[in-house]
Amino acid sequence: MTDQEIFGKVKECLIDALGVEDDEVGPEATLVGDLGAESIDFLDIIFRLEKVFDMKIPRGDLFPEDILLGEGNIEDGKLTEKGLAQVREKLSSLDISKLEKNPRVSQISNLFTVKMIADYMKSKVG
Amino acid sequence: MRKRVVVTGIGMVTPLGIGVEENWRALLEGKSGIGTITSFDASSFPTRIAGEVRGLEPAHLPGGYAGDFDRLEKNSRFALAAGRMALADAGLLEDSFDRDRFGVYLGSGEAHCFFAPLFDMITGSLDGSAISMSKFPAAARSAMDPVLELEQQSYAPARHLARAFGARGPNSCCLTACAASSQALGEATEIIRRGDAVVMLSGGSHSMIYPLGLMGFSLLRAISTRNEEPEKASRPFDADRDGFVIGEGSGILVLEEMEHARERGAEIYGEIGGYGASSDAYRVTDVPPDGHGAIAAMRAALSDAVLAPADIGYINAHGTSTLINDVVETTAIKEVFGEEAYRIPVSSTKSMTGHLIAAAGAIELIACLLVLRHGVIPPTINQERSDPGCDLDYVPNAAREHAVAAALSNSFGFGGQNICLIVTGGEELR
Amino acid sequence: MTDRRVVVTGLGVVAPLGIGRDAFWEGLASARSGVGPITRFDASSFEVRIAAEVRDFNPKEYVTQRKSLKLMKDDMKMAVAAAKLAVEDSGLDFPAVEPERVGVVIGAGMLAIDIVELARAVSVSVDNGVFDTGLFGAEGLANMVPIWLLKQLPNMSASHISIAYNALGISNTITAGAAAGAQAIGESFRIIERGGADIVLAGGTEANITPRTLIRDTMLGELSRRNDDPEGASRPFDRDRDGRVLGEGAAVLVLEERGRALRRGARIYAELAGYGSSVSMRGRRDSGGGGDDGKASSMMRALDDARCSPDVIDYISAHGDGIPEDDVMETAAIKAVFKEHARELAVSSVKSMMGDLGAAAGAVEALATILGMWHGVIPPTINLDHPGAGCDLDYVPHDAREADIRLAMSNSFSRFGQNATLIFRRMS
Repeated sequence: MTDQEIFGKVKECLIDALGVEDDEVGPEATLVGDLGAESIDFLDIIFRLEKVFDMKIPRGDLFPEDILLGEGNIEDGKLTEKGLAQVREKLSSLDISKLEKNPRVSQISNLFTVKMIADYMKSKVG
Repeated sequence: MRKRVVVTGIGMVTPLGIGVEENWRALLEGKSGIGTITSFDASSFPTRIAGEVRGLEPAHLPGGYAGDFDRLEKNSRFALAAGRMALADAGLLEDSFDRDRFGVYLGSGEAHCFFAPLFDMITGSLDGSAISMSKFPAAARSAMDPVLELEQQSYAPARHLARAFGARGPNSCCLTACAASSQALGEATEIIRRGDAVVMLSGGSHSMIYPLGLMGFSLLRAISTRNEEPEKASRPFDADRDGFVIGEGSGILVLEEMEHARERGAEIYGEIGGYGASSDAYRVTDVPPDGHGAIAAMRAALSDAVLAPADIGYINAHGTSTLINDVVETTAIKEVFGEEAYRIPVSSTKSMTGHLIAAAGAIELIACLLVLRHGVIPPTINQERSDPGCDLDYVPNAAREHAVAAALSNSFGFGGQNICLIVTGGEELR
Repeated sequence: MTDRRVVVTGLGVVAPLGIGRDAFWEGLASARSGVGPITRFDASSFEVRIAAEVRDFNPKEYVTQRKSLKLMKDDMKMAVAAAKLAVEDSGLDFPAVEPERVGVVIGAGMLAIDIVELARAVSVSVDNGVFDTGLFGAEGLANMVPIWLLKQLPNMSASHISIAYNALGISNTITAGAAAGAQAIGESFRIIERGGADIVLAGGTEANITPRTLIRDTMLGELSRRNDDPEGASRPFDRDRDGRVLGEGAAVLVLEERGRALRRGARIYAELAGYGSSVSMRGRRDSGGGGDDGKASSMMRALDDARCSPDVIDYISAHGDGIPEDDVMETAAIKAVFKEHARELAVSSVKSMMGDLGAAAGAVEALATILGMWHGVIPPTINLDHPGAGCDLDYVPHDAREADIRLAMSNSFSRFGQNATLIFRRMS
């Protein structure tokens, strides 16, 4: 599958899941900020990706929600150093400098971009 | 002048037991009603635990209904048993009073304890992985009992109560998810306040412990998967909570116009002092982080009861044991009660009963009334590791003696409907 | 007991006869039938193949939050559309309205579990031709959309409407079968009366023309089998009636405290003057039938509430569903309540034109009643060629009739015996 094909399929999933228009789904668009995703949509996006790419995405692999649940990762609504380290590991392709400055939990989902999903799918499809 | 409304009878069917005494004892002992699901094979579901009602028998139902036990959905069984208890408790089972001014208002949901026919009719009409509409009519006809299908309607229990006890007054059912029975109690209170009835049977009855219910909540990842430790799964406000646990059952209250109750010398549990309702109008699944809807509903209930925040001696929290609810509810309580928030005991009885969905609020209002009567507060069990976002006094793990004159019960529905009720006790009612 | 009165200032409807106030009224006034062959799915193998479907409905025109569409079943889409039409009709400037004083109360049908949505999940859970719950818990679930449950919850119509208008006041969802829409309007009336809100978007919605409902109601013997003559199938009070016809749709009324409406110079369609509800002990689902007092009580309570004598009612929009015994019982109840006046007043069933809209019926029919009053025209009972035995009132057969309606009543009765009656008064 070419990069373009992968991106096209990701785009198709996002258009369906978020009810957005084709031209809104650029690579740098953030799911929450630009495309209006809320918590339930992440589950829906994963489900659609699994169908379109015909593969299983392990829980917490794409959107690392388990970081939020992990012991000692969060204190007072902010990520601890331990939590940040896990974000760096799981979301290695991302620029997390913004998050380091403001490690509020609610900021994590703002890191999720269209490109991040496409990159993840690329790494899986190979 | 609006009429005053008091509670003169209560009935409970929950995972903790059948009857008020059994429930109250378990609540004070801090017992969990959660276990591995036995009513169907849930062994392959992501969640295999729930709070199931055990030991309900035909003899618990009103006379004319005992023989229909197997033809009734759980919602109706639970409601008929709890309704009978409540009326007996109020001394109204045999009493003659004006049946035209006796109504029913329940919060209840769809019922699917008879789920097999649905799967059979789908299986029988499959063509590959799709339904063949040419096969469906025959498959459905052979699987379906149309009368049982009708019993699945949420308003069936309200009708059965009316029929079983001759309640010819207003009859309704609402379904605002987890706030439903609190809302029913609020609206039933308003019906009596306005003078349209003198006695209302109100509360809720619900079970979502069937494959499609379990599936729905599992898909949303809303429920706990602590399958190995069922009794520890429902842990509202604890740092290691991972979702709510489905419960089932019914709580029915006899609401009565105060003068009517006094004239017949009825024993009074307390007065429904305040009813507050609001909407989040935020998102379908997410709770607003500032808790504005919960705050508005609590304030509306206080204002309806003409009470100040400091007058509240106990809060029975919605406290579902989901990550978000418990933090936002805590935030909202602090906003409404200010410094008082840290002095008011707040507990979630869902830690023991699980979440009875549409029936939850009724069970929890009954718990508030029992707190008023006995001066003991049931605990929030499974408090092991504190969450910094949840820093109130949740009455951890053990019941506590504490005299209370007014108690608040919170119920927040999926979809953003918030209902708060306040009950008050005190000598003047006796 | 209170000086707060309630008026209707906005009407929104999505129904088989038309979408929007004017299209809908045009259908009623011209005595059209909205019943036709079922197109929602291939019903050619079903015994009953007709229904009153909503046509040319494009939810995207009404649902402003596009993402919400995937969370909505048809009933939710129709409810949101009806609310939008009602709000536009009311002239309320929504961001400017005090949000805490706006409520939403909707009568909704029960979850129409969609067999088509479950098919794939069930297909992977079948072992040797038999459904296996064990397989379903693992394989089945993996084939279900995660948001499935959100489309099944009846309170979501009200939730979506609250979100669309930032309505922060009370929200309720009544599920009382065919009485739900009327009870929702009645309850909203009480809420405004007691000061719980100044504006309530009140109505009902149901879209349940589904394979499973069709089979269930056919097995219960409730549905007309007049497949060859869809437009003649819904014939309340007629000698040759053979049951009801499934319909779908939604209606929302903007109810407003009268003083508020007058101050802003709103167009007031009518005053909501009375509400009564009751339960029938011997409904259709019980053996014995007949001689029921619940329907009469519902009407009596509404008359008491409106503080008017039966003699002043000019028109009754009947529940009139076309099920043989229902029409006879309702006629008997009307006679019991109105005595001699029963012969003078006009009674009609708009279900003759659009079928039985279930939880939406009470709201859609209330809207039809209000429009009739507004236009001075009574919508007819079509297909009434030969009145049936026990059906001997003036049912306004075949064609709409001009009439001066000052006070009108609308009845809704559920199959489980929940009843609701609304009374509207024309504003002078």
